[in-house]
Amino acid sequence: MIIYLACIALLLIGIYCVAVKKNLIKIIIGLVIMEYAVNLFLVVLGYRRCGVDPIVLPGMAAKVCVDPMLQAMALSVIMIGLATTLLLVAIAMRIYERFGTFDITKIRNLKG
Amino acid sequence: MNGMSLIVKTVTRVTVGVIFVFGAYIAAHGHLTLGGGIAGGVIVALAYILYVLAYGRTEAEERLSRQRALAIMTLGALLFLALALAGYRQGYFMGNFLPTGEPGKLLSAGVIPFFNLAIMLFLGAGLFVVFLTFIAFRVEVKPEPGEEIEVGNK
Amino acid sequence: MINLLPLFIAVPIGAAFLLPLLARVSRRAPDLVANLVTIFLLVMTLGIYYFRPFNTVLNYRLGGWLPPIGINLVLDGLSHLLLLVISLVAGLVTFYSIAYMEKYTGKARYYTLFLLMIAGMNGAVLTGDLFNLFIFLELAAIASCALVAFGTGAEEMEAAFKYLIMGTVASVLILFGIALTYSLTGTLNMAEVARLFPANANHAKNLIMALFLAGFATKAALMPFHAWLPDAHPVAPAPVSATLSGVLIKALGVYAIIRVFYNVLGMSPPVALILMLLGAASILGGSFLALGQRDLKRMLAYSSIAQVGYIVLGVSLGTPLGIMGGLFHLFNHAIFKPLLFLNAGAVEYATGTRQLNELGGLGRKMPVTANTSLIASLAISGLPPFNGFWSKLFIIIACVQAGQLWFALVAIIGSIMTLAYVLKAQRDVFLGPLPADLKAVREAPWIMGTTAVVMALLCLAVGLAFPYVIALVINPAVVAVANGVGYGRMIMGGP
Repeated sequence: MIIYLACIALLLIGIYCVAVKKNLIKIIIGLVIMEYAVNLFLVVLGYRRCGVDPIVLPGMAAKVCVDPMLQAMALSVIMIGLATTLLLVAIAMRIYERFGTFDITKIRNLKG
Repeated sequence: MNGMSLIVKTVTRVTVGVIFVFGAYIAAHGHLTLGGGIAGGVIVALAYILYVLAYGRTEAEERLSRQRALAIMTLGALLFLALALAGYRQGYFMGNFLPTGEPGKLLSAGVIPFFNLAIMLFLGAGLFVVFLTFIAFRVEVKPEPGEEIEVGNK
Repeated sequence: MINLLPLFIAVPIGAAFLLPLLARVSRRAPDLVANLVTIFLLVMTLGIYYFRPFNTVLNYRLGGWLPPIGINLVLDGLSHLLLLVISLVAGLVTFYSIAYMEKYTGKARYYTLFLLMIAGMNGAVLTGDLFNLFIFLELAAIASCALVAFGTGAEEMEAAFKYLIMGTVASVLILFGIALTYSLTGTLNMAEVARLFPANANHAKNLIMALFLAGFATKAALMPFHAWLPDAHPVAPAPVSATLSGVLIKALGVYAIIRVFYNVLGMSPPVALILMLLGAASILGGSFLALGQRDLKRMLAYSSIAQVGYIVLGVSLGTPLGIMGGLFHLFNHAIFKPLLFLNAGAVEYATGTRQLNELGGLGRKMPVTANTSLIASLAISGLPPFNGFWSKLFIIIACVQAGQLWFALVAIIGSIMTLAYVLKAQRDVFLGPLPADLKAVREAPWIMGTTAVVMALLCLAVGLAFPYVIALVINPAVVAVANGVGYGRMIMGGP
């Protein structure tokens, strides 16, 4: 139960960073924290009591395993998060080159 | 541009090969144990990135140039697509058309080890190219005498 | 025929990876290969109309694995309608960008990103698995963000950053919803979730619906979640703006809302009311804000928000006439909105500016652009005999029939405001005196003109032959949507 509250807390910290912080890099870090939260949630959902890792070698008796489908999902989400973070950082670097600052209150060319 | 000190260079020269082989091992045993192509590809890319950090970009590009890394990345993606299309021989799009051996051996589970190989090529070369693209980007910010560079607050 | 379904996703991805290699061989090869791929996709989509027996559902299991373990691709009426819309707009826009993208460098990379976006959209509408939908959603979102940032100017970077941040926050919320659905039902397959969703888990179902609504409404740019669209669509290159406005917000946002809320979770009156309120807010907000814009493409972007509001209002009414009106408006909007954006791109290509107070009197210099723009403006405001008239009429009649008179009034007010701002834009750009610095303007290249004429003729043809279009294309989609949670029984069989 505690670990699910930790996921929600991470999600809320991430939302706070994306909504309140004014530095571009801190917004990106907030987004990465939100993705950590959802990955943790996915993996923890698969926990079974007394579960072992889902690998069966010949000669082993089958035991209760944790859910492997969620681990595959979390792996895919981590790769997608990697691609998104790479693109965000590339855009942030270009913004610094064009605007000279990372402060979002000064990056307001598009208005109306 | 010149890399790090001599101690770092010597230690890197020893360990980067081990990291590369470790990554290939994780990618090759994806159908037997944890990991698979994704984790193996990331570790192989890390081996090259470690080489860039220790020796500098110019010398690392002599080992694996950007053009060749892009070609390996494209090769990995097209290999994945070719394997998926070859599944039509068995009837379905990503169908398994190689013989599945006994469980526990390295050459088993049909077409999965080759998918892992394709993903390892794709990710290993792709992440290296992305890293090279990032570090090739330099922004010169020349402050006026007496003025501080402002990068935003809070 | 059913074996060709994965090719909708595999062929664009394969071509996307081959294009940078081909670009080193010859300079014209990327244009040719990209256009061949989109023509192939369009031919396959139309061919499935010809070969598939009417009102049947194609269900293809990837790799031969059965559905609770494997992923299946499902082509029912709704997916087929979206596939036709994507292929049509992609084919025309790829032809247009042969001429338009000469102004940018790195044309092969543009085609790569464009084909990846098309593959992502095709995968999102074809898949029958919730997590696979998320993966293709992310592929299309990242590719489209890279396309928005394609010009690498200051405005493009700011718009791309906002777009990607909001899109990723929406994706995280969608993923929370998918994780909760998996924990309740033990499967990710849409049909299995429709069958196995526990009937008494009301609190969890409300939370899942709220998460999905927040996520997909951001992707569809409904009113309180729309803030990324007016920045992202103007600064993108014109063919990218046309695809984003014409197809992406509908294939990723509206299609996902319809699929998840009708077929997977089951629609109920409170959720329908919330969707109708979001649609009405989008209509009013988008139309009001479009009236005061001075940038031509920004005005068209706000207009897209309003038209997506019409689609969501029509679809969430729940009656067959409402769903048909909403889906027909989806089809029509995908014809006249790209035409408006492509013409705005032609104006920008010829004059170099998008500001309405710097343009004027281009009607004499660019006759093809002016006339096709007039046809698109009349179609979007809902004047007969163009296609927009019939779809808006069906939505308004369906609102009145369902007893929602205030929503019908909102739809009528939105229509009047649409007429106001598109005619104002038409007057500001094409009529009136020609400014001094625009005297050397010439008509856009023939490739861009031909695309515009084809789309304008489609507007007229669909408007005149609308019973046939509705019977062939829209009605199977209405049947698929109105089937509701019976989608699960139809795909998987059983009780």
